[in-house]
Amino acid sequence: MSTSIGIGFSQIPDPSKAALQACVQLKNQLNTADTDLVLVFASPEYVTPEIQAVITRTLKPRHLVGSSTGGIILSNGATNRGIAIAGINSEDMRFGVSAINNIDGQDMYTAGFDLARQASLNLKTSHREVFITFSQGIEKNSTSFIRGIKEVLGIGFPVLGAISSDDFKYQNLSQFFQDQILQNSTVGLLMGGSFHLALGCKHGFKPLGKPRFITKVDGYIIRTIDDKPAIEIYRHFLGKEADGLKDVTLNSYAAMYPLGIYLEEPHQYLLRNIIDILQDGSIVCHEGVNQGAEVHLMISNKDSCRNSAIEAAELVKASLGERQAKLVIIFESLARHKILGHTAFNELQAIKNVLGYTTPIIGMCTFGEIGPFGTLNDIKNIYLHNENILMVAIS
Amino acid sequence: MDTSNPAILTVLGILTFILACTTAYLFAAFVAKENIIRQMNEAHQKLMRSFNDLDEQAKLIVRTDLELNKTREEMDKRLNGLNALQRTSRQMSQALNETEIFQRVSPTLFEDLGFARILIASINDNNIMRVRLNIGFQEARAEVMLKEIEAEEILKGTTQILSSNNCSNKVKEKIIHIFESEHFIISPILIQTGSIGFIFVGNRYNAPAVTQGDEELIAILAGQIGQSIENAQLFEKVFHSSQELELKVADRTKQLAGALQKVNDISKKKSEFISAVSHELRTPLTSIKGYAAILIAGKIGEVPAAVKERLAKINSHSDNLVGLINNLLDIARIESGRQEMKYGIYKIKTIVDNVADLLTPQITTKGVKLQLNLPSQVEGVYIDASQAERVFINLLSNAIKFTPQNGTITIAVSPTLDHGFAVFSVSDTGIGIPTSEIQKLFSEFFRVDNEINQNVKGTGLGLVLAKNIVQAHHGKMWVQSQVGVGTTFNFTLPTSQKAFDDLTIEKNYA
Repeated sequence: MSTSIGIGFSQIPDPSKAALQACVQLKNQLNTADTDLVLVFASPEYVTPEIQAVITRTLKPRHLVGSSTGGIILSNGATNRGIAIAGINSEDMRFGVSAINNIDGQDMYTAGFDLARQASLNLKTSHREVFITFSQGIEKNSTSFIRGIKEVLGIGFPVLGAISSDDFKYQNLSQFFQDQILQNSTVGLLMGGSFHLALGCKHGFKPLGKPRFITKVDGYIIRTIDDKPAIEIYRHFLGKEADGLKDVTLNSYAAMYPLGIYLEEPHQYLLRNIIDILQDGSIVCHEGVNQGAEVHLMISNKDSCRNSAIEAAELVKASLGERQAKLVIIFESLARHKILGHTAFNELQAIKNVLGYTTPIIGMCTFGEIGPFGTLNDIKNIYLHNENILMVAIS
Repeated sequence: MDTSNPAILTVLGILTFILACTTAYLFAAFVAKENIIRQMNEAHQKLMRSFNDLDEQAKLIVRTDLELNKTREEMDKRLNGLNALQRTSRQMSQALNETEIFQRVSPTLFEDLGFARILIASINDNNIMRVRLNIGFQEARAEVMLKEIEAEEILKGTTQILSSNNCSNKVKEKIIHIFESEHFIISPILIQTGSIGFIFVGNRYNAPAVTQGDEELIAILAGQIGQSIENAQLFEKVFHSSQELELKVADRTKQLAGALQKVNDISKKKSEFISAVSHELRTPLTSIKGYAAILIAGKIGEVPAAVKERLAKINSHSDNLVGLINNLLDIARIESGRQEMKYGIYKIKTIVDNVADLLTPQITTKGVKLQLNLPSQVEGVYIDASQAERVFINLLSNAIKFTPQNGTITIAVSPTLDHGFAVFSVSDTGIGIPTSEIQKLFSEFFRVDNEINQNVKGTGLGLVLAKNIVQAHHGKMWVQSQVGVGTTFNFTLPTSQKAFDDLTIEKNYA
């Protein structure tokens, strides 16, 4: 009974060569002809059909999922360019994968339901532990999407995930599924068998100013806050700098100061990035919010980001107890990663201080993270978050 | 109603009192409530004011945070830019030609600086502007842009950086039109002779404006490219000169090697000739000596005294000739490596004592003093004893010959070794050798022109033979002399087989 895990990474400019180098590194660690599960995270310039061919040929994966990303996270640092591949061979773990294409226009509940059902059928074991999804296009109705998944897997089942990202251009979002590279799709990975799962999810942002209330909302578009056009909240705090918000959207101030929607039940702030600003001053967010909800502009800095990463790592460690993590998968907001800038390395160091220096880490920067607030104890409240760091440890 | 009825009056009084009390109570309650409302309003206002204050404070915090973030972003960008620039500069500095220099300009440098459109162009050997790096433009469009830039004379005579921040509106419009980029920096690539190209970086629209930091970094990059091109040109010149020089050296070396081969061939032929001739001479000489000895002995009959005297001279000259031939044969053998050497460890004192014993009669006859200075630190040598003795005999014989009566001859060994070799010296207080003659001393048949040599016979081969024997031991021989003071011959001999072998290896490697 054993599980072996390896990670390969390359930044060679030629994508095929980079994929081959990463595969060879991984293969040297696994030392097997084929691979039970392959996870691929690649920056947009490396997302080519050739890399998929190289990975399939070299690693012979039975199950492959992954995503494009604007940032790759590894044990020894974070980078915005390259291809990272993790491989798992295990007698204890079982995997099921699934994908739903052309998700635009589809009913999100049905999409989530079908995704989970396909993965369940593919898993070939009744012992299920966690569902992880890499998606694009589910953001605007992620609640229904998650509900669809839970309908299949159970209300208390851990559903985690990441929204595919790129270099803030929103033009090169892709998902890896078996030997295909998909766009506008969602892929799912259902993991089962005998292993322990630990989770930590935190953001480190604090509310600014007096409470305001969402007075008019259309789904994921916040029309007014305190009966004023929603954008006024940014104008109030940012002054003339708010005029630049629309042009550079996530790549700038909007990422540094997300909206925080206060949720009464978990007593937590759910963060929302602006993804567009309409002519009438309405704000377009990931996922809908409730009319009447208390809203704040949120603020963070490098220290609070780093501290929240430490808190998330400590939650993981507490859940692991005496067990040693065999692999830690990190989904971290790309916007948050931008706040950290070149100090992202310090955040990783802090995580390793908690989880151990030899713990293998692989992760991606996302446009949204799906998970609970905090730990698996809050698993009933699964949300699509922005600006969070979500850590999953497998032991 | 009967108002005089006391009961009624009492009731009315009570009712009036109750009414008055109620009214008073209600009034008091109203006043109290008003107070509470007022207090609550005041508290609410305070709370609102606090909220508003909090909001204003938050506004300040955000704006300060914005400023800090802007500064940090600019710093991060500059830091990334500088890092990338340093990497690129290092790469470029290792390039040896212009093409290689431009190939080494990393596109990631510009990505790190946040520019999506890059065009680097420079003039080629035919003085035509050519695209060296193009990111973000179609190939055909880039060529057209070069022509437009030249036609518009935007960069003509420009040595300064042009950017969307600092150029005139007219120039800015032209650049925006040509490069379709709202935010841009153009920096000329300058070398000592002037501009040889330019770097354009820019972004279309909806991008952050270029900063002073961007301008500085691009200017540094352009400077680095110019410097690298100049270095490459200089390197090319030096490389060509060095190639020419190498060709000349190779040619001359070839000539010298040919000449050396010729000399070696001649030397070999000479040795072979001497060897052959010596053998041919020695046989008849032996006969001559034999016959002369028979005649002197009177075995064929008594010969007259005058004839006997002549025969004795023939015998003596034959001996000299045999000695000369033997020396020549030895030299030839040693030079050609055909002389079989029988190496072993011998005590220095034994060798020197043997030689001294052998030459004691001549020393005594000449009336010179022989001093031996053989320190105990150096005891033995790794030599062919018979050959080494010939070295001592040759040098000591010479010393005896050239040292006047009462003079002193010293045989000494240095107490310290020279790389495992013992350093010997044979010194005399003789007539000395003129400096001009010293160089020729080890040439075959050379004899110093002095009165003694004119009167004493010699072959002029002794020192040559001695030096050849020392060299066969991997040692060296040299001489120091001062006319009227004396002469010292120095030579080295190995003290161990290791010292001998080490030098053999060195010679083989050399």
